[in-house]
Amino acid sequence: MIYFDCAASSLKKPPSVYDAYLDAMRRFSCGVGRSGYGAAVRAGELIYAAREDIADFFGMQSASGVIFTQNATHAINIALKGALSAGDRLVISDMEHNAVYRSALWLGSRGVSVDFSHAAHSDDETCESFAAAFERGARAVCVTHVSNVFGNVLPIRRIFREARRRGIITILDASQSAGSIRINMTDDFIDILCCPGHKGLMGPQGTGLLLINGDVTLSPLIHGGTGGASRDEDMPEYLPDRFEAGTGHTAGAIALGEGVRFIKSIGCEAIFDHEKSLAALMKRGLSKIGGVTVYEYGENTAGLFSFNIDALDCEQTAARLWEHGICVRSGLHCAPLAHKTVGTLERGTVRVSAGAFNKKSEADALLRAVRDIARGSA
Amino acid sequence: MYILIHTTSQTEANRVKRLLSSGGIYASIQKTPFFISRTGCGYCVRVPARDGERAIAALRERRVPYKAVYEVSGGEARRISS
Repeated sequence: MIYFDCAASSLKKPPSVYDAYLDAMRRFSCGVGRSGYGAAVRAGELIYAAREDIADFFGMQSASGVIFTQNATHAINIALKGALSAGDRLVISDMEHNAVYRSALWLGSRGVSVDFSHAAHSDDETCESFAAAFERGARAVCVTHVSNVFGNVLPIRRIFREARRRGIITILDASQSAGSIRINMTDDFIDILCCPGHKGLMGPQGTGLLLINGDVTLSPLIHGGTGGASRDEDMPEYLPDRFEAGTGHTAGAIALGEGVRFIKSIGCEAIFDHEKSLAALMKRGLSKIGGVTVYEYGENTAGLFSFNIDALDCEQTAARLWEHGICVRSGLHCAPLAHKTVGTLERGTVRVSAGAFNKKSEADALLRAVRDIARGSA
Repeated sequence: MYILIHTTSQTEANRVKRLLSSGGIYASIQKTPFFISRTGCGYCVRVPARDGERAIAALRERRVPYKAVYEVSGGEARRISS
């Protein structure tokens, strides 16, 4: 099986992630964060070690701002619904995944006004669109770092620098960039970062991160026990407990820490270069096949892209690729907004997303398969 | 007799433990005794009585927050810093 669906989830994990997960499942399925016996305390120490390494990896000021969530969607919901209330304005791009888009529309139905800025082909044009939106005033801006459909990288540092200058809360959806693009929350003017643990960070599914850097006050989305200050009727003000009600995913958090350590040992830049070069190779090859359209969008792109075989429905193309043992994602990728922006809403696309463990021979195999399928369907 | 550093959370207890351990102070995390934790539950860091002053100085120097420091002896706790 050849796996090019890394934008959905990284199939292969480093051995240390598997080992840490299984070990934690065996040793620490106990009262972590609640009880005082050895296993519970030791698990707490390992979770804290993961928080420290994650905080360091993302250039955060404190490990306390590392909050473990179920996934990026969970983190985005905490961030948006915790930051905004009726009367506020939220700015998002027209390249957002439904995690942001649907949350924004939900807020819109409750009195938050939502402003859509254009993620253009040109970075300058994108920044101008955001600046114009900021001019109208906003409480927060939430932007995807990399489109999960077309792989275009948004100029988030420039957008957030302008937002910070105006006192606007900056929220980054790093679902497609965490682990492959170097992010420093302090240098990149990011107040809140949301990302999955199971994609580029190579952790288990069911893990995600809400990272809060500095003094941002959010209302909690979920209320419940935190293992501390139990007599207080309100959720604690301090992090990470404010946003971690209920027993957490102990094995997931510990294993996610191992995933981050693995990436640190290799370096984001090396992973990004590898993924991008494979994507570039496939895009070049596909562009030369008659009856195939490759969608190029944005000045800078990452290791994922979309294409179509013109004579086939995108779902058919994906099914035919699976007959060749190749895994890709087809359809709208939970991002109708991005498809509308680029003009593919009515037919969807086939998305190819490379990961750190993909090989050139696998890219070559995908090209051969598409060539065969396109020839047969012409 | 020993010293208990009462922290806001398990995360902060781990932060305190790491800091003190890196300075050569033996520190261990335990549940906060009920007679100290008036709000119920939580974690604290235990250090030997001989290291109490050094521990407090290290926390203040690094600006690591804590709720209070207690000297505990025979089930009695005396607040010595906050």
